[in-house]
This record gives sequence, structure tokens and C-alpha cells, in this order.
Amino acid sequence: MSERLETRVRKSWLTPERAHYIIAIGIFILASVPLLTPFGLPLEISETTQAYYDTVETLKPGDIVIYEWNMGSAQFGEMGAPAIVQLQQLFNKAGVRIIVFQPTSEAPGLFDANIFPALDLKGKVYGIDWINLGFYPGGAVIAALATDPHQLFLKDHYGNALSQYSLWNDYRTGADCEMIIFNEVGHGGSYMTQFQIKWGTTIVGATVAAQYADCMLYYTSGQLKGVLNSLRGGAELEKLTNNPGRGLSAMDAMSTLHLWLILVVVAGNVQYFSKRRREGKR
Amino acid sequence: MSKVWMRKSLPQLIIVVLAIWMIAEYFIAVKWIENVGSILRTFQTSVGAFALGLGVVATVYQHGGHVWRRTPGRWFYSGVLLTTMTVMAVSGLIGWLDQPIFAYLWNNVYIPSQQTVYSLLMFYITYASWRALRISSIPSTVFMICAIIVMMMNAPLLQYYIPISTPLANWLFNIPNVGSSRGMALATIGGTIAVYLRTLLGRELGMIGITAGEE
Repeated sequence: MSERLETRVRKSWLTPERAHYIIAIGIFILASVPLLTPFGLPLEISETTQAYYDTVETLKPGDIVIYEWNMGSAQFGEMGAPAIVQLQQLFNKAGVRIIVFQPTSEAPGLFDANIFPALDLKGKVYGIDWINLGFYPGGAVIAALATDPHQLFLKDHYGNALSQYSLWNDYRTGADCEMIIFNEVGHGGSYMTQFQIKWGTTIVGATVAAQYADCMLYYTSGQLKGVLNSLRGGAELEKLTNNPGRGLSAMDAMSTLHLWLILVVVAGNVQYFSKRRREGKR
Repeated sequence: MSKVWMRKSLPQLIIVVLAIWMIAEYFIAVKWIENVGSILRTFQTSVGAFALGLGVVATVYQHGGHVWRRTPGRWFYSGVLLTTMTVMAVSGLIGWLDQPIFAYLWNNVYIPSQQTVYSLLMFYITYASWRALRISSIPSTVFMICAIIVMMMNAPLLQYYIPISTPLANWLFNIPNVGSSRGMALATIGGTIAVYLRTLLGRELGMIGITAGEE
């Protein structure tokens, strides 16, 4: 073999195009196989999920909770399972009253089509034990919910007058709310400003993985009493509440895909150093 | 009234008065101030609802123009957008999720397509990791090590079999992350207060469409 040909062969069979194909095929296989045939890999409960669970469990009969579902359909794959288990834990708690609030235009559709059908209401009656405010637009809507909800919120998601519901009549200001539970791309900052500072309302919530680091800022300061880390946090809560669902079934794929990501990083470095060595020899 | 008064001074006056009112309403518990604040919030929510309608009008105007003029390479896609928007809006208004066309489009087209686009991030992130997370310098090495630790914490399997990953990742989240993020958060808050003060003093005119050169 001539030196030129040998150099060409040794140069690298792993071209960027080939690498892209291998990475894509790997993702496809490692995402689909565990979803189709779950392995049942172990799942540990993280500190922030345990704190979330323990905080919600402190709710007593008669307490009013505001649950904020503030996600678009793009994030539903990541945040749908946490939303279902968050609400299920609330519905499981006897006597706890829930106000569902959705400040994003896409959220009501997702709630009606994808979340509500998955819930077991445990005998809770609409209007007495829970209500759905639906979508109200505008940045000031959370301030209105905290200070003068009866001025702005006149009808529920289904177009019925809210004044006919005993739960709504018992909720006059944020002072009547025991806990805020959010599911949003953020850390519940508006609730800290409008509810927590004024009335010391307890806040817990679920957020996307990219915002988890941001939430830790408020968890360590004690402003957030518990945080669910995206789908992973949802799966942990499913395990804690003994309510297996979409979160737990996705955890095997989560493990295999993260493992793949680490292998890709290692392979990228091996390729990088072998290239540098070749160039050094030349 | 002069043109300057109408274009600059009046909007500025409205902004300053409303800003002071809402700040007062938050900090001072006086009933009549709270009542006016409440009306303003309701007004803001109504404006927010109108903004959605305005978005629809702007979309129809923009894309309707392309269809009307048969803009090469664009009119077809604009037509598809307008058709799908009309079908979704009309079927949604008729019966929301009880309307079979809306329910079908919502469950089988809208949500899967949105999630598919979002899921493509996985491919992009993996390609980016392949190319970017390399031991080529000290900062990139630190970055790579931190990324791998956090990935190990997020993967239940790795967290279980490599238990050291949990305390390491927790330390990363609780110490370097919180320390640096707090600094950034405080800087952001300082900047926000500065913008508020500029607004109250009538120095911030960008929101009423006046640029620095026009002042």
C-alpha cells in the first residue's frame, strides 16, 4: 500500500456525516427499545422531589391550593407526566380544594384533552372541591388572582359564572390560599412576588430540566419548598405516590439516552486526540 | 395640542402615573388606591385578550397579501397557513374538543407535530456534545466534566450504579450554580430597577416608539 493511500485510510473513517448517522440511529434505538420493552431500571428519589412530596402531604382538609398549568404542547412530552401526577396527588388528598389556573393559551386544550382524562377525581365535586379557571391572558393576571380575584375572574373555563361555586366564594384573596403548585418553564417568580411576600404562601412546583438549576436558587433560599425536575421528577413522584404512569415508563429511555450522550462525548474526545496525534506525527 | 405633546409627553405622563399608581397599590393598603389598581389590572387583561385578536388580524393581513398577490415561493404556504388557521379556529369555536374535526387535528396533528419539533433538540444537543465537549482547554474540560456529572445524575441507571454522581451533582447545583446565579440575578434586578427608575423619570422612551435620536 502506498504511503498516500495508507494515510487516506488511516485519516478517519468517522467523518462528520457518518458520525451524525451513527448518533441519530443510536438515539432512535435507545429511545424506542426501552419505551417498547421497559427494563425496570432502578430509580432513586432525589432530595427536591422528596421535599415536594412531603410539603404537599402537609395539606389538611379544607385547604385551598392553586395549581398552575402553564405549558405549551411542545413541552407536553416533558411536563405532561409531572402535571398528571401532581394533580393526582392533590385529588388523592381528602378535603383539599383545588383551583386550576392556566395563563397560557395552549394550556386549556392540553388540560382537557391530555391531562384531565388521565385523572381519577376520587369523588371530588366540581365547584365544591375543585374548579378550572381556564385561560386568562395578560401579565397582571397573577396579581389579580392574588389581590382581587372576584373583580377579574367572572367565568370558569366552561363559561359558567364562578360566583355560583362555594369554593370560589371561599377564595377572596391570596390569604385564603395555602399553597401554590406550579408547572411552568420557570421558578414561580410571579407567585413569590404576588403571594409569598404578602401572605407567606408555600410554593412548590415542577419545571423543565433546563430550568432546574434556576429553581435551585430559590430552593436553597427556602422560597421553593420542593421542586420536580421535569420528567425525571414526575417519575419520582409517581413512585412516591404509588401511581405509575408515563413518567416511570420513560425512565429507562432517559437512562439509555443519557448513557449514549456520555459515550458520544467520550468518542468525540477519542477522535479529537487521535486526530491531534496524527497531525503531530505529520 | 402640539405634535410633541401628543406623541411624547402624553404617553410618557400616562406611563409615569400608572407606574407610580401600581407601585403604590402594591405597597400601600388604601382601599381606593387598590380599587383603581384592580380596574387597571382588569383593563390590562382585556388588552391582553385583544392582543390575541390583533395577532390574528396581522397574520391574515400579512399572509392574505401573499395569497392575493401570488408571491412566488410564498403564496402556497401562506394559503396553507390561512386554511389551517381558519379550520382550527372555526371548529374550535363550534365545539372545542367535542367537535370531531378540532379534536382530531388537536390530538393527531397539532400536539404530535409540536412535540416532534421539540424532540429534535435531542439530536442537535447530541451533535453539539460530540463537537463541543472536548478536552481542548481548561474551561472546556471543566465544562465537560460538569456536564457529564449532571448527565449521570439525571440518568437513573447511572445514578444508581455510580452513587458518587448524586453528591457531586448536588454540590454543583447548590454551590457554584447558586453562587453564580445569585450574582447574575442580583445584577438583573439592579438593571430592572434602573429601567423602572428611567421610566418613572421619563427617560425611557423606547416603549412609546421614540428612539434615542428622536428625543
